[in-house]
Amino acid sequence: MHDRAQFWSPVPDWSQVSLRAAGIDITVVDAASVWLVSGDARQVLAQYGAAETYGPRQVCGDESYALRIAPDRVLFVADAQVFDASAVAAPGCAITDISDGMLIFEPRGRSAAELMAQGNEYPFDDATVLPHESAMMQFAGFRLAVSRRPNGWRLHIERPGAAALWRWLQAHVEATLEA
Amino acid sequence: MSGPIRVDVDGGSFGNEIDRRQRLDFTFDGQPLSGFAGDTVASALLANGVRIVGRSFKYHRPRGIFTAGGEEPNAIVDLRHAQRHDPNARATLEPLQQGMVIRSTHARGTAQRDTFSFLDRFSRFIPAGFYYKTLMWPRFRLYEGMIRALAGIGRVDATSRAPRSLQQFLNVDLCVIGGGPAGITAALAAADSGRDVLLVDDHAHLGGSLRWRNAQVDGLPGIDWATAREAQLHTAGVRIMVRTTAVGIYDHNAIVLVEKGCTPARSANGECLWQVRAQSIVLASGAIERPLLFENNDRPGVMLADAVLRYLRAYAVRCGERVVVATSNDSAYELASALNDVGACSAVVDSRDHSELADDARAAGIEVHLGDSIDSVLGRTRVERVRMASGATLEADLVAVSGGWTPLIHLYCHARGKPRWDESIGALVPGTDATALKVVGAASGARTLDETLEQATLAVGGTPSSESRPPSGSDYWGGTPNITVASGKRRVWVDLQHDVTTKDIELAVRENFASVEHLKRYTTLGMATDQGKTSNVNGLAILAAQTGRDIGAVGVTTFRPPFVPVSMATIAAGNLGELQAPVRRLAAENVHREEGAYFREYGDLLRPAWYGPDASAIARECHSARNGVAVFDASSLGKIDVIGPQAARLLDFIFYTRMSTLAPGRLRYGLALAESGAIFDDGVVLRIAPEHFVVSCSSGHVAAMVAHLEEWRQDRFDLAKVFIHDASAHWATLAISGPHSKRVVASLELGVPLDDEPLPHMAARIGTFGGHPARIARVSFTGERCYEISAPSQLAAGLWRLARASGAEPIGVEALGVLRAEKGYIFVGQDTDSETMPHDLGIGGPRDNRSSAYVGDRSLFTPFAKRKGRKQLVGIAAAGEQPIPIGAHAVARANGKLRSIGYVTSSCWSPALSRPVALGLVEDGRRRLGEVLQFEHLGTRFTGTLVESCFLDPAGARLHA
Repeated sequence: MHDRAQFWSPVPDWSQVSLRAAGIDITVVDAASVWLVSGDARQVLAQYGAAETYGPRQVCGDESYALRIAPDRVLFVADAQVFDASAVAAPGCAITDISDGMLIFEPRGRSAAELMAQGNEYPFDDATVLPHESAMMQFAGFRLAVSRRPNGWRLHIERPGAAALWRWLQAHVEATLEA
Repeated sequence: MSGPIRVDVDGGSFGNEIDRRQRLDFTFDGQPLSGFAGDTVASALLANGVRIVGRSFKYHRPRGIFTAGGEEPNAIVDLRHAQRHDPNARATLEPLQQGMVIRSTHARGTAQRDTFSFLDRFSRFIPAGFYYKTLMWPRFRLYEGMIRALAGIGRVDATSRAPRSLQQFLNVDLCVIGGGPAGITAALAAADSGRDVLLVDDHAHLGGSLRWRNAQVDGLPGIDWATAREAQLHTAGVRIMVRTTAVGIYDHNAIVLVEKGCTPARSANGECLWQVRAQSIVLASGAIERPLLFENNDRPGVMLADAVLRYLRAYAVRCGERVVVATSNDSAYELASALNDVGACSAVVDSRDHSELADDARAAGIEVHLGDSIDSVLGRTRVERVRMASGATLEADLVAVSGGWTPLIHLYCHARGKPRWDESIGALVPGTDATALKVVGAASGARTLDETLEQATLAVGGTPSSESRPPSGSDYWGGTPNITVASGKRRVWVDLQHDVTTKDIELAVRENFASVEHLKRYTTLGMATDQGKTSNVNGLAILAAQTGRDIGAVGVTTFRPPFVPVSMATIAAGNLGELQAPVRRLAAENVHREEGAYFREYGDLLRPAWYGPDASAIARECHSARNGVAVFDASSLGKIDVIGPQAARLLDFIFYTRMSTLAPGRLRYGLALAESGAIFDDGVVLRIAPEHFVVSCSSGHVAAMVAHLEEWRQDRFDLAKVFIHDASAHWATLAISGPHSKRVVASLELGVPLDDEPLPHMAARIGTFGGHPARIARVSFTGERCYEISAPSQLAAGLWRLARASGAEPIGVEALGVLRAEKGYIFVGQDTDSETMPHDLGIGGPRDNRSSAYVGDRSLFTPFAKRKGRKQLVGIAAAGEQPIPIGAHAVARANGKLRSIGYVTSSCWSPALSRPVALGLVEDGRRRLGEVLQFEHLGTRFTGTLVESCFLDPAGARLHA
């Protein structure tokens, strides 16, 4: 078998990359910490100003926010290192630090909705709020969590799959440029 | 090529689809031709007088364009345009574009001059199923190559690369499929009630048959009504997609659409794949005309009557100069009248004794033969004359046929609808309700336009107009197919695309292939790329007559997606190259690239196989691990947190070995079983704290292990007392192993003691690296003293560089595979199969001693689990210096025959032992230790002795070196 290093392009330097085309701008978000929080997390999250949990359609403008990703689980993105360590945070609630395991891409701009429509049939630009809707979904074949931002969306993906998602975003931005 | 062809009267009722100001040049079989913007490839070919567009599948008979839609069985062409190459493009659906290069398919040479046309002379020797009977001796494979070379339609160009295409998604309240009167009405009514509506149609404009048939709707000519309604649809916010075919309906109202005619900038192959999710669906797909059965009804120049009318009115193409219209219903009289207007109608031959329209036709000067039918077409490669059942002959260059109508209910069947036979209109119509899908208009068997509009309005909850009138007496549908034609020695074609004749069906019935499913498979009726759209009902009628049943009792084969063929390039939708099957990447991948790593995909992971230009590096890497110190990137291993008061109980249930007895700071190897008792995965469990465990499972099984844990958590445990968190991506893990590993790890300054006493084998401590927590575990997959250091992923590159700077040599996956094979450590899935249980590996303790329940426990005591002859893991010492190939079968002679008694699962050259080592699963392998067995692999024989699976350091002294 040939050396596949040539076939697969190197993993981007996430501190350097961004994508830009007419009407769309994609950046890598530098979140201070990301946590999995399971169980009855309301009180724990309320301490950090994230009492409300979000699905993929509710606009969330805060830098700390909690996305519903399973019936009893949220992905908590924080603008600070909020917990000391992974463990049982409170009776009936567990937390795990996955900050280094996640990357967050943020497509913004007037063409961002068009890009999102190429990844999933979900009505991303529909502002209807469904209280139990999960932010976790298949997008462009990748399993990731989506959150709505005032001028775009955020895609939260595990680091091992991030290079492939970035390549997908790159291909679509290049297609936009060609068009 | 000859003939007329464009009707010169511009505008008005002729040529409403084309723009004569915009000429488009293209070639067909190398000949330069031209058409107009708005033409389909088919209309442009007809306008240029091209009669033969391809050759038939089996007998290489000349074939011409037969229809004007997706049901086309003949006009499958090889199409190249810009970056696009479609070897099986349907000419009737393809919009003509400037510079298209079109070639006929399935012909040696050209469609006009096919060197394989002689095959037709041997047709009597090659009826349906002939190869089942005649190509069996001495064996079928002798003939297979020839058959494959002759079969198929278009040829894929192996040198061409699929161009980028586009995929888009959409979510709507209602998707209306079909832009004819029914679809327009339903879409408008739904939009008026505030619903988000998508309307799709596979033609260039809305209106359906109103664009080429005479009709009055709401006091307007049909085409004007459609144009006015289209404007209203836009105003109402309905999303309209034309040149878009719904190719499939799947679970939960998922609809797949293929949009054609996209600009190259938008989609290089001209197509876009849409995945639509709709809350409800209205299917207004209309109906297609059925052919008539007579001798040589496949000749170029025999066409469906509605298609001839459409080419005439919509594309201004007069398909013939002397046209005989043959019909069994009233719908074809409009064609006769239209042809008469342009001086091309020769006669109407109506198989019925009476028609209300016959007198009008005669009054207009059209010759009408009632109670007669076409017996045969005369002419070798084109229509020259027709002979009628009465014996009279008519001069003709085109026969336009209408044998009734077939509702297009394929998509209804995709949605799990079951059709029924409606004797009154002689057609299959929707039977049972399909979930969230309503069928309206001609697709449901509606008899009149008024009924169509009423159904469409009701389907979306609207109130129909009070102006609706009862059905008129017009016999539009035509009733049950007329199959009275006697075949005898004559050849009457039922399925044009797969060359199935009435004789083939009769033969199948004689040979007792009398079920509709058997008939389909024996004759291939309805199997081809047109899925029998024009042939199925006639085939069913013949089968019914042959077996003495009603058509309704014969049944129908299952219609499955796609409704029309979709190219693989369109399905791939630009997900080519790196996006075709994306792999997961290591956090430190770019550092491995700097080290000269040779990468391979292992499952969905891209990992260094070795470091160096070729595989000779593997032995050097093994030497480093055995005699010095090596560093391996094990970041892909699972790191699954199991947290909570019931965490220990859950892991006791999941693992074959109890984990609740682990002390904090200690690790234990464990096997996880499936309910069948077979080994599901293995891994190491670390207890960090009394209520916090970390499961480190195999790299390729992380997602499955998380799901396995979650499934049992939700099934048996208190959801508030145990939680599963997959933190695998957060942690990077480097395994530093070898006799000198302690020295290298000490240089990393992790803040934990590394000696055996404070940190013995299978123990772990929490230290720090770069100011962040790091886990240091004494666990080994090489058999050497080893420290696995897990740190946050972003520190992986720094940790790797530091270890290298301290003297650790890099090793890749291949060297690890050798090192672990020397020790007899297994890879689950490679050294186990779907039947391997723990006791087959010699791990029987928990099975014998555990009293508490665990996944798979009962399956370990079934007769199957206890039977003799189970395949057990053994080592295999190969004779000689050549490793026995992985997959080689251990063979034993029984009753004079060789039988496989097992196989080699892992095999390699051992640099440490200077000889090959192998692992295998062999029947009663433990009992056979010491036996010399023969191994067969692709005709080569090897010899090996069964030995213990651990080849190196069985006492494990090196773990503490």
